[in-house]
Amino acid sequence: MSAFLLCFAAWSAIALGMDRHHEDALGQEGSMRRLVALRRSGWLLLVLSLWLAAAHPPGGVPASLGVTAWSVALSVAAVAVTATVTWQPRRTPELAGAALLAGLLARALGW
Amino acid sequence: MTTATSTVRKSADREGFRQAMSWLHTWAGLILGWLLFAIFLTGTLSFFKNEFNLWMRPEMHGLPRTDAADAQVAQKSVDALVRKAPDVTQWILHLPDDRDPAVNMLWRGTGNGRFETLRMNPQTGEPIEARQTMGGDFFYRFHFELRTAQKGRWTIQGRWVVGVATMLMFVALITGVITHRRIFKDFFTFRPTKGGQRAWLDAHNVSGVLVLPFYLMITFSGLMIFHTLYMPAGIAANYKNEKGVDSNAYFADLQGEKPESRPRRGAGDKVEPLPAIALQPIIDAATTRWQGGRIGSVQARRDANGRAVVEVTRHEGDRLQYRPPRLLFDATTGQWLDQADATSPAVKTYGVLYGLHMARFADVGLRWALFGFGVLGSLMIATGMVLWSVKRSAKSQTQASRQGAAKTTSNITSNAPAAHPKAPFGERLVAGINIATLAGLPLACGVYLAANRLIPVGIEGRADAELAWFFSAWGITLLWALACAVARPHRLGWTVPLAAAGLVWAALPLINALTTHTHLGVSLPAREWVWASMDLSFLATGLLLGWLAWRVRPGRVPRRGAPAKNARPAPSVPVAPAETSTSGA
Repeated sequence: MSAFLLCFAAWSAIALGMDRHHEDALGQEGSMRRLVALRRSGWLLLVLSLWLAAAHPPGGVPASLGVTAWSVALSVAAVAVTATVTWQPRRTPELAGAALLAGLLARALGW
Repeated sequence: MTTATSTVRKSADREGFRQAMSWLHTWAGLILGWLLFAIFLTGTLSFFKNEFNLWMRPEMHGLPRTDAADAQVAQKSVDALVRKAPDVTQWILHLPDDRDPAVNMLWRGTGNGRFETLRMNPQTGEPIEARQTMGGDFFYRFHFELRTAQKGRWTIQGRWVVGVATMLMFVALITGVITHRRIFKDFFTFRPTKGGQRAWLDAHNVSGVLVLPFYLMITFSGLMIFHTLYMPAGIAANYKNEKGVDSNAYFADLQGEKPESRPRRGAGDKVEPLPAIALQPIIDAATTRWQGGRIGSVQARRDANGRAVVEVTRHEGDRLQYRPPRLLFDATTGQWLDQADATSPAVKTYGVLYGLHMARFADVGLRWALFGFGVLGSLMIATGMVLWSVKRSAKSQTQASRQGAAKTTSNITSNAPAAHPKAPFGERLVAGINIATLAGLPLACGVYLAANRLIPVGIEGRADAELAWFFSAWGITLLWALACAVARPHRLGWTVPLAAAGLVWAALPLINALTTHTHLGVSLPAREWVWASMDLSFLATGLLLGWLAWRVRPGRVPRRGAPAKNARPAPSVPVAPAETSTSGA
């Protein structure tokens, strides 16, 4: 669960770091720097969530199952972000922020 | 050769390579796409094999969730079995778990050596007389060996066909990444409102790339599972004995066993019946050894030396690697003998691939996610097939309008209707088989489930009768599709089978309510979520198919940019030039 939320936030950041989606979501073109920063933070967040899944898998399952569940969450989150930028582009930033917070919270609760 | 020409040649080579990959992707996809769609969809349904097995045997409804210890359940079931068949020589007992409330017992006696199946009430050990059906096992068997009857026939041939298709799926995936090179740039891009070819291409790309790791994994592991069938040469070269190939030794290695402890029994071999076995101390010892890990199944048999042994297998959901560890005990003394488990890196890798494919580790959430991936994969294949048609008709349309423009004759006939009335025979044939597969298979699956409720219980050959309904429904759709797409192209070709499929699926909960006591009126108040969610999912599937049928109905005026179904995009569809559309996305 926390893996999904963190991946969602990460993919959103990567999507917002792309020209087309940045414009769709925020109504203006982002500066090159901003786009790069968004993309980098997205990738970082992905790596972080993978590390969390591998090093501290939730629910006390073996690391192999944690990583498997993470890779499933990765794809589910990618589908979810695609759906968001397609049908609710304006909401993308808020949803990403909410997912990030919820993900960290879920992580803290050990989900 | 100057550097300038060499760079030109290099880029030309690269283009040529991509063209070649594109060609391969298109034709590998087209030739086996229909089969792959069927394999993918039935395989996806197999993620819920146990749940289908349960739903299709309503007699299993109401089994109590037992709190009794594994040892008690096992002992009671085995005692009941021995009372029924005192000459039992081998039994394999699957304990009830979250997904299956009954005890499943496979056993054979001194007779013909064939295994028989028995489902038992875990509390009492009484056998449950369930209707004859293949249940979810049909989807499962169909997806890897194209099973057409309850008793296996042509299964090896079926596995070979599936193997070839899987190999081409793998080829199509890899060439697809090369062909649609923009998928990573357009990672999140889906523009359904753009309509026409663009929307289909987006749908194909998005459903392809987002879940790509899953497709690669499921395809590759699917191939690897049957490596002993597809690639026997390596085994033949390395496992030899005086009689030729020692496949027994290979399988022993594969499963981490000693060759001599593997049960071997020819049809005519005489085997002594098993002695009475006290299971409690054995299961207790196994639980201690695994530190509370779940026990999946227990087996008793005679080994090659005639000694009665008990094998306790850990639950498959406890780890990723397939083929869980097994503990071997002496049946008479209860003494621990051995632990069988694959440890070599190669076999472990194989086990992990196998485990990933089977997804026995997945809990409810993960299982639904994987199911969703399977559905997306089926959609990827389906959109690819439709895209082939859409692209071709778009091409002939632009050619026609170009010709029209070149001639500058304002001839009305040369303008709009280029795609129809008569597309080339090949295109019409593809469109027809598209209908038969993409709409026909969902219809056939729905009919199969309905047959499970409608065919009288207790008739001879009931399981095969259900399959007959399945294949008849599919066959009729094929005839319909050939009539409506090849002989006389008509837009009803898609609508009718989709609507029929929607109706059948949506009616399933109703049929269930009329024929059993496991319907929503019972399962919802009792909070039996497995039963209830089956019915609700059927209803949702029906609504979805009905919505699709509604979208493609003939009278519908295509909005500007509405997705055009089949080989007939709306005339207003913006059409990309053919060259860029093959290599550009």
